[in-house]
Amino acid sequence: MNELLRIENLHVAAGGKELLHGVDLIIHTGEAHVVMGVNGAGKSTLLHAIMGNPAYEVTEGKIYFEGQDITDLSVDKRARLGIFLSFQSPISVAGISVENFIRTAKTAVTGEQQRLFPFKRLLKASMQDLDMDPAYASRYLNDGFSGGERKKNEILQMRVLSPKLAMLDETDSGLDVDAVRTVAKNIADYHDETNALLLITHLNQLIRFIRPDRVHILIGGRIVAEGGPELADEVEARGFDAYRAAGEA
Amino acid sequence: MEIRSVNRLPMPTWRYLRTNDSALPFAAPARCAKVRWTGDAVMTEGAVLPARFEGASPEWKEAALGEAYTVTIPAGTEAVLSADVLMDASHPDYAGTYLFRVEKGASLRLVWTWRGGGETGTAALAAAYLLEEGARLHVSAAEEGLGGKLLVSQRLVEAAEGAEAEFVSADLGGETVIVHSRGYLAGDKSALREYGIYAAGGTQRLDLFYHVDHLGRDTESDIEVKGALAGRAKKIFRSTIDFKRGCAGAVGSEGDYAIQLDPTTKNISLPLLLCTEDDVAGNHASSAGQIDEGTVYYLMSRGLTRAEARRIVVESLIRPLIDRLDESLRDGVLRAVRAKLDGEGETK
Repeated sequence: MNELLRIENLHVAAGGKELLHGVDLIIHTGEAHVVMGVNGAGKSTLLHAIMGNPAYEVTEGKIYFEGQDITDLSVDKRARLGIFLSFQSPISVAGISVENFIRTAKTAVTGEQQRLFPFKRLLKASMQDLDMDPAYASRYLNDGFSGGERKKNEILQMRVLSPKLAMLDETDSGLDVDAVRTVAKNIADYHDETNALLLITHLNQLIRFIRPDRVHILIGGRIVAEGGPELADEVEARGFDAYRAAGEA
Repeated sequence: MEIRSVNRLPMPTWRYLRTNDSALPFAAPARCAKVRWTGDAVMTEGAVLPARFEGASPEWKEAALGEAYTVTIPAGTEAVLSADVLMDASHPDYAGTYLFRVEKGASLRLVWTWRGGGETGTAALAAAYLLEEGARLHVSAAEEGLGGKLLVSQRLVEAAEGAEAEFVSADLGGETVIVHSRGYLAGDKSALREYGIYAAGGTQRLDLFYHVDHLGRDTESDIEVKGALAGRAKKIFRSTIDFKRGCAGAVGSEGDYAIQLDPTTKNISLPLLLCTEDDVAGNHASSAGQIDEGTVYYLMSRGLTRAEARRIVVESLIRPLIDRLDESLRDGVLRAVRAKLDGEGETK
């Protein structure tokens, strides 16, 4: 398996406050990683820093993607390299339809103009897999969508854009039990030896469907424990108390 | 160039705010182009505007005294008209005064297209639209290549019982654009809708004035202006909805939504509601600010460049109004907005 993402001693600040204090992480192609931690631990910050959100400043450390230093690369260039972030709170943009937006995005990330009918077929099939009403394709992006519909729309984009690294920020939150199963199945179907997953979740619901290769416990902006899937089971059974002291050190 | 006061507020506010009117350049049209009309309608030469036609100022009302026609849409008929004005190097100006009579139960769909080659010049239009009972009017207007011009569009609308009028205009060119729209909803259940789209950059100046009087019962007005400002562009929006005594059941709303792409732009918004009737509903709103960076980030995370993301944010704001334009104008307006945004502000 090839090394896809390497993060070395990553320090990230926002609003003059350091939120990540030296995170190291390596993800190989074909792997699924899960980041767990209490609220405010820095999980979303980590994902946004990898995506290149300008609201977060990398004050120290490096991020490499397929061996290329992307620490200073703009968000769109990272997306075109194959990095995708499913947002915890997807933005609504009235005025552009879901179909037009995803087609524009697919053209941007592949560098190839998307032919109308093959694209429509791909979109329709992906929407069917997600139990989404095809009418959503012509609705404005996330405009008037429920929380669950927005999350499904994020996974729809992931399926169509087919990134090398898909980062999912609490994609299971706000979904009912059936929707979690549908979304999890779609994520599992997408994941293969050609791509990698980095998931944030508070719950083990998603992990039941997507067995992770590595679990990382992030507390206080530091990774304080790492292990295999059994670590997620342990957190579910005992909570984060055992790790808090390490994070506050 | 001479300076004239235009678009005076009907209810002046504190003088030190300097928003009661605007002091803007004045240049009378001299070498005037002619309108090329297509479509069927009864047109007679000469037009006498109603006495209460104000215009942006007395000087601008007079400046529009060029070619003059009265257009009549006979009762119960439907008409589609296109007016194309090409202001080229030999005829860089325009002056026109029109009286449109849409008789009982008739409908008129009118498209104004203003074109030029970037020469300096003045276009002054004065048009009165008189709608009889149950008449329908839809007016779309768009312009291209009018970079150096002074554009003045003045109108008056009078709607009798059950009559409805809608104006949709895209103001993208013109160094100075003055819009003066005055509406009288005289008949019960009459309606007037005004929609403005703009994308201004450089040193462009937009001075937009709307004023609707609700006189009849259950009347309806809707004024909405949306767009983006870049460079050192300046826009002022003066809008007044006046609920007169006796207009019970009337509903009016006015809104001004601006994205300021550069901190050097200036946007002033004055949405006024005047009321002497109890049983009415009036809404007014104004929103101006820089582009939402959260939205830009979201779009960029899907591979779009910053310029593309910025363009989508602006388009998403104005798209619902563009969709109200006559279909023949929509693509051209979208292309013009994109060209404008690509050539302005951060994307330079």
